[in-house]
Amino acid sequence: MPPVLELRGITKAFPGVLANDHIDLTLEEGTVHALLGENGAGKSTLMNILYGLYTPDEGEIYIRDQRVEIDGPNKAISLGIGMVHQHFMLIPVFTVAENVMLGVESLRNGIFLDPSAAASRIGEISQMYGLRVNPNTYVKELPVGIQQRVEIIKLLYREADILILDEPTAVLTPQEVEEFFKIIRSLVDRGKSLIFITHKLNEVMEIADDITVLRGGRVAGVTKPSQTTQKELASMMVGREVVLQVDKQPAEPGDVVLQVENLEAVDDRGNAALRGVSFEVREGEVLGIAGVQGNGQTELVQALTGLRNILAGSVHIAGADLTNASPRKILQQGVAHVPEDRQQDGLVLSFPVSDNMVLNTYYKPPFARYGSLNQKQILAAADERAREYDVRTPSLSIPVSNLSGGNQQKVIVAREFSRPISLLIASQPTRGLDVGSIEYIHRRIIEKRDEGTAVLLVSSELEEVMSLSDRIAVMFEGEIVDILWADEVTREQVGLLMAGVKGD
Amino acid sequence: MTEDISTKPQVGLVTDIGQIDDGTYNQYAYEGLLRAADEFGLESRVIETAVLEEFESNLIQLAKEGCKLLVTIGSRKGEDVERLAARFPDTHFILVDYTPYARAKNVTGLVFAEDQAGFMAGALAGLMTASGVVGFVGGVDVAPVLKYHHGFEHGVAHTNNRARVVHAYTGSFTDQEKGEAAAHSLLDQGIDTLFAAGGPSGSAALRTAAAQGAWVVGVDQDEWGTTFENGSAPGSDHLLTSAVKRIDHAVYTAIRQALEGKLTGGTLTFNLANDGVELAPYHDADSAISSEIQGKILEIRKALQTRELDTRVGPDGQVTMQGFLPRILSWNWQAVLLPFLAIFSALVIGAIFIAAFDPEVWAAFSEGFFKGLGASFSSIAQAYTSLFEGAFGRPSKIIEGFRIYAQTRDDVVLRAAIRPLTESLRLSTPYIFAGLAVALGFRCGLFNIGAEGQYFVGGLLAVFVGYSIKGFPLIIHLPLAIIGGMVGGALWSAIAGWLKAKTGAHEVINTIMLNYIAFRLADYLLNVGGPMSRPGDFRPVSPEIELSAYLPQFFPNDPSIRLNSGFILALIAVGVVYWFLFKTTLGFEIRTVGANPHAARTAGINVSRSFVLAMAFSGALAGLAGAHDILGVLHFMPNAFSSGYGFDAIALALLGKSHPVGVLLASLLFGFLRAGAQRMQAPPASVPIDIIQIVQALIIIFIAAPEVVRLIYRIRAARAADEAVFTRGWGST
Repeated sequence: MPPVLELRGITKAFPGVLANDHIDLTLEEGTVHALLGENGAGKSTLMNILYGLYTPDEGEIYIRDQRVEIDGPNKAISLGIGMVHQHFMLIPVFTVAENVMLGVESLRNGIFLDPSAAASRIGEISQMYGLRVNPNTYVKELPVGIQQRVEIIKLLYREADILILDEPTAVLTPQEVEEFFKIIRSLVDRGKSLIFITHKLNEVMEIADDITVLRGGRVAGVTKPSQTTQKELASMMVGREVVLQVDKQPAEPGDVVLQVENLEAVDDRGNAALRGVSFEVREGEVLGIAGVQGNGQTELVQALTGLRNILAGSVHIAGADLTNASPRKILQQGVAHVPEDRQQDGLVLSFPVSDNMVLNTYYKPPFARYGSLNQKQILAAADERAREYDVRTPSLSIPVSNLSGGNQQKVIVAREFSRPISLLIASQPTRGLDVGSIEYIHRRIIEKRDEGTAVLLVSSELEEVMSLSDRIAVMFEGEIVDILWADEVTREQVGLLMAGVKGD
Repeated sequence: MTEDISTKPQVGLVTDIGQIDDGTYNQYAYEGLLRAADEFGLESRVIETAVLEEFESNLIQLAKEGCKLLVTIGSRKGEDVERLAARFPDTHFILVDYTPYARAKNVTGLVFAEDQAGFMAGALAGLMTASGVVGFVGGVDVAPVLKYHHGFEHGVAHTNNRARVVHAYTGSFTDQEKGEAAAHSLLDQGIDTLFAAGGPSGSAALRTAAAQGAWVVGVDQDEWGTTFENGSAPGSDHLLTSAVKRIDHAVYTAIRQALEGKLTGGTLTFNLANDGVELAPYHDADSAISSEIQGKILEIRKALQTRELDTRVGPDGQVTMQGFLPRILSWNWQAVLLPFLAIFSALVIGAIFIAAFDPEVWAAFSEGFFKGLGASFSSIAQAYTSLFEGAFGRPSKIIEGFRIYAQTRDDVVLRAAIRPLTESLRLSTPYIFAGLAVALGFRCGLFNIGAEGQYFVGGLLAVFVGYSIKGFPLIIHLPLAIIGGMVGGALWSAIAGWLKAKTGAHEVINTIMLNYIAFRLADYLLNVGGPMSRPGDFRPVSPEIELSAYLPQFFPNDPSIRLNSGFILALIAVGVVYWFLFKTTLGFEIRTVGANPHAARTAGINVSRSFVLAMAFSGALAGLAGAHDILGVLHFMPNAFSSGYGFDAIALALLGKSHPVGVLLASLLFGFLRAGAQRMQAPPASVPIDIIQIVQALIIIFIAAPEVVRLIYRIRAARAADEAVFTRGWGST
């Protein structure tokens, strides 16, 4: 049987970068082919070529041994290629049926929309692949996991048989991932072929039939789960030996630094986001907050850093009552904040690297005296910090937007860690970073802990929470469901708590 | 692991690919290690790296076995070693040929001034060449090789400015065939002297060139002893010398410092001054090099050592720029070019309008196409000549004026000649204030559409202070009146800033509404019989201000020249706003809030305060514009006071990219256009004033949409252009 899809020697250059360099990829019918690689390895470029968004400079695409030219998404769809993007392309105020039929609307008498015909097709598809969803609910009311199903149904509705899934598990709980894998298996059983883009090694080992690893725009290796290990995949991905486990000694907790009692707050829409959260973090320990995104973690961090109004409860940091204190007051109390969305909250992208290094200390000597800035001192300090924290930039005076994600995060880490701090609040500190930067930032966080800093780590990556934390607090629907010792708990136990299942 | 751990401290060496007797850096690092081990009683451990993939694990092995000092070659895998070093804090890593990036206590890089060695080799080559063409063969273009290369080039130029340097890179440190081929191709270009820096590949090039009778210069070590086998290999009499870098010495020195506890990370540089680099003996070529040349080389060596002479090569091997011209060339010309082209394009399109609206042109066209064309041309020429003369004056008259003034000390003609220029500057003055006002708002992400209203309120307060206070000297009264104008504008706009900070109400709406309130307030106050009206007058105007509140004129005796010291005040304001925005903490806060209010808040900046402050400062500047027109030009206030400055100011801020100097230039442009337009309106040009407004509008369109200009003139966009932030959309908070 010929492979359902074959890419031969795909090459695509952008100014200054060879994004894809003679990439070969063979997708067999009825299999899952994992495409593994760090950010910038060329995965997205390759898939955009396959989906007709880019034209390759060189190379050929074959579908069932037929040479094809894909000059746009419409062509891709007509060839049976469908893609679920990392950010869903759904219209929240439309129903599931309306979203699915968008672009290929069923019509009655040639003019009127016929949602019921669409709904019944959706029903069939749901039945066939185990994709349970109510066609008449509004998309905005669905949890993320179900929205993803809608995206998949959209592809099946268009009769796609080559499905490209871009980082599909990034938004799911471990339990949802299990559910999702079941769906993938049922798709494969019915002859669909899948390309699964990811950087999570454990998922690749579990679900893939074939694995292609990309690095720096080239194929770094082609293998199968049975023939490889996670460690080997990681080094293929990065090009060197990788320490998957964070090296750390047992914690030596000291006095309580952060004391949170019965915290209550609402989210931007006025719904209760924190419902009486209490915990404490001590000197020299990492408390990790695990939880599926959107269960109040964002609001918790904002409340602690003075960015969100606290309705009830109290926050004490190093003995001082900082409930509803101003952000500056809290920062001055020795709190370092690595914000969740570094580009929105952590950096001023149009400002030079040097100004970003002093974004919250610019007003203090030696950077300023009598309200007048001392650029020389700012540059000197920025230079020192850039070296100490390994920020790779051609110059300190270029806008920080020119730096890679990893280096942008290092700018924030450098800024926050080079102040005297007693509490570090790190929110999604490694989201979207390459393995090298993740390793680096993890090590720095543990170093801070070992220096006696109290660390509050918030991450939706369970792996990260498990490997860095000394204690783990699980958040679900604005409450802390449980606080556990990290070395006494399994992934599965935490996963269940994250889904709100409280086992006794 | 057995218990036979030696009590001696251990030093280790991991080679780059290759063995410890390879005759290159591995061997010299090893020799330095051996010497140190011998002298200080250390135990040395060596692992030879066979393939690159083993390099890191070799290091890990030695580090785990307890080597306190680990020497290795950093040119290929230096970054990985740096990363590794963090895992082994008790081991000090010494990296040959590498500059550590991050500062770590246990990583020391050893770098060499290859450029100095190359410079001396080049100086010698320049003196020895007869053909006037010398060659350089490089391996891979990594920093040390580039330093040799560029140092060599500059050395040649230093002693022989007529000599030409040709070069070739083999792309390899090991491929000998490529080295031979490179030598041949350079020989074909006429070289008679060759310097090669490329490991065995480069050495092969030297052998080939020497066999063909060219002078050659070796690299890294004395190649007389290696490549030319102590003079027994053919061609060794053609080896002039070698540019030597003493890796052994450097490694030995680093180990010694480590044992003395002086090695604390960073970079150690080895140059001529500390015996890190040198020229090897001349050996068999000694007799061929005249004593004059040998003396010259010694002089150069001394000059380099004392830094009297600079190789003009940077640490990465790049040629450092010096002099005025290269600096000019490295400017961002696009930033200057684009506005210029926008103005030019607007004038061209304006010309079409001028011709199209001229009845004479139409008449001429009806007589024939070429007649029409001619009439269009003369119409356009007339219009733009008037524009120019209205803005700057007639150059011949100005020269004439100066001549008469120089001869007779009579300045009547001169004053008349420069009157248009002074009028342009006078018209620019309120533009500058108002443009700065809007620009300052933009910097904070605020769209101050209310400059017009603030101009009004500023004017009202200035005129009130101007006429109501009596009997003070100018030195007190005038500043009071000016401050009055600033305070009026500031308070008026601060209302909008405060509303935005407290309630999130959009400043665009609020400032527009405040404009209307200001207009009607002025109506009420100035109306006949109103609180600020002139007693006994039937016009809605305020009383005249006291003479002590007048902004001093430049030409007090000639009322037709209305330029006053307000213009100086405006220039000072440009400087103050620049200083405020870019050199003060408040300015930093305002710019941060403007560029990213979320990050500003997270960083502890009081966003609300910044909004109010920025609005107040902005309003103060707009108020100054009003004060200027009252105190400097009108000396009273009519209720029809406005002349649209507040709205033009928005265009000025856009045009000047919210930069004070940009605003100044844009304001001057508008002032000139406005003054010129008055002349254009008058006969003989008689162009409707609307045309000039069309030209102004076109300039703004072209400036606001630089892509259009780029498209017309096929200019490619500069990478990562740092566009100024204006405001975010209507819906944002």
